[in-house]
Amino acid sequence: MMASTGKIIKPQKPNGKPSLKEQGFQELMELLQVAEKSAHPEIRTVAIEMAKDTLRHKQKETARLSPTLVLWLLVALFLGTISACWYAFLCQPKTAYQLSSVSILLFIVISAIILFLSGTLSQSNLMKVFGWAMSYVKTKLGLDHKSHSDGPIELQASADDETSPEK
Amino acid sequence: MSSLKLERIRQKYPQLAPLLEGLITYIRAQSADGQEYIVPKLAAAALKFSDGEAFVLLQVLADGGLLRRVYNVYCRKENALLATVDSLDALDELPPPL
Repeated sequence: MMASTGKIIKPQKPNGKPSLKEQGFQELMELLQVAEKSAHPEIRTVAIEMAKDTLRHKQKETARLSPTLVLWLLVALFLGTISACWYAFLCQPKTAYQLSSVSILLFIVISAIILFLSGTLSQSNLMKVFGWAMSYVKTKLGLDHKSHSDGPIELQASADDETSPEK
Repeated sequence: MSSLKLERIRQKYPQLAPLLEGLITYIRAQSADGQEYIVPKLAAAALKFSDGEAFVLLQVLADGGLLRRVYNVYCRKENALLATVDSLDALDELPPPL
């Protein structure tokens, strides 16, 4: 016994129309979207899970990097980060913590980009990592700038300070 | 239809059990009539579900090993079944029509 989608689908054409696979995927997602509006909560839950699984599968299929390459890149990146931390503590003891923080931060951000390209990490999670990295840079590494409107006022105040002794 | 697999599905989705009962009765009737395929749209119409609900319920049975999901490719002009494949990937591996 088999369950068939039973829809007449136009065959693939070389004029830029979506392929059969793409059409099949679209139809699956449309069915799941309809199911997500079901009156039965259990069906809604199962439909959402199915949609997530389908999207995850699709994401992995359309990945631009192969899993082996991703593994090697991550291993190389990890070793690079460890070496950078080791070098920082060995040769730059004063700024070792900051340098290590930067290298670990870079490791996390680059790993996230690699995982995104490999289809393992979703775009929303990638943006979360970027957001976290930005907030870390601003708060912990002391690179926080005041808001744009504060700039000219500060400059003006310092200029006044410099000129005030002359008066 | 394996009762053991069915029992497992019922245990996994206890709240879906009444809906699955209706669907299983429909599948058994279709099977008895010699129908090889259960089409979500037709099942939905017969059981007064939405297409999406019927698809999800059929997929639950497929995940439980009671059904196998396949994709049938039809020729609209000839109204003929061109191919049956069991994955989306296989759809793109079909030879182009003559």
